[in-house]
Amino acid sequence: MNTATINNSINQVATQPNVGKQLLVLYGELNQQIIISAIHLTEQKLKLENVPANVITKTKIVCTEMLQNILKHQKKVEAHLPNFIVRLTSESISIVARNVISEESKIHISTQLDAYAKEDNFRAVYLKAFEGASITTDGNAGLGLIDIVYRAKQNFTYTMEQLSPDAFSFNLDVTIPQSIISAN
Amino acid sequence: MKKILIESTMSSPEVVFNFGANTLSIKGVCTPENPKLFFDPIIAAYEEYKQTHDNITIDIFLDYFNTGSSKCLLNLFIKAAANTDVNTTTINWITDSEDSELIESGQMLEEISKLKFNYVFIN
Repeated sequence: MNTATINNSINQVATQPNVGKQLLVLYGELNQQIIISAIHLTEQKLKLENVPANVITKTKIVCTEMLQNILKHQKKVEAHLPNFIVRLTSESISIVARNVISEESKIHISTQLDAYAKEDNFRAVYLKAFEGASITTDGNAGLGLIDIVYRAKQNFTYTMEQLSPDAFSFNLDVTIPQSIISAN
Repeated sequence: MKKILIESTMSSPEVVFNFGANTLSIKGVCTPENPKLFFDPIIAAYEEYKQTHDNITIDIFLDYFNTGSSKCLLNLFIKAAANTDVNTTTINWITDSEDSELIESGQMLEEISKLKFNYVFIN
């Protein structure tokens, strides 16, 4: 992606109406150090906005899972590098992640998210998943998506846009709702 | 050996296993890329120590964590919940009193591990 296209994309993100304050806009390849810095920056921005401690913690945990999911599962496509945005409105915090995944991942993620969206007793599902999960030698517990959905109280939307036969742009938009913010 | 000390990093907590005091403390940010690699030696040390010692206290004082770390902590608590008729471990879950997110996370781990936690509020 050339500089003009990147500038255009950032400009589109920054000038979108009715999305509140853009607290963090991250574009490009990730590593663990960038994730740590992004979480730290998000925390400082939320503190400046006087967001309550419990919401800051929830946001940090959700952001960590979303960014580490991108890092572990992204399919590298130069023309479609990952992006990650944190926004704040008077009613909620919105966290948006976009990255490229394979068709196999697309099927797996869609099946999981569709099931989570329909679940009435999601806490029981979450506890069962946590109890039953095992952690692999490379440190994956397979609990990232369910944890994001649980902490956001099932407030999420997603799209999968096909880019090529085995590449899909996965867009996940998670909302930490007003009720959590106003709880304190 | 009197103590295990792992210094904190930007993504991993400080760990102090003080054998003289019967205490294991885990404090800070807990989002290592490979939580299993980080926690396995701690869990192994705890299991070995538990075979010959009673009344161990584990202090958990986390800023935030990833799911892999949360699962590893659950594994530690499940080990702590075993054989409680022979030896006991006390879990102190330390948080800011206003941080309901961390309190709920502790309650979730408490519910699954079936180990009673003490909630210690710092504010």
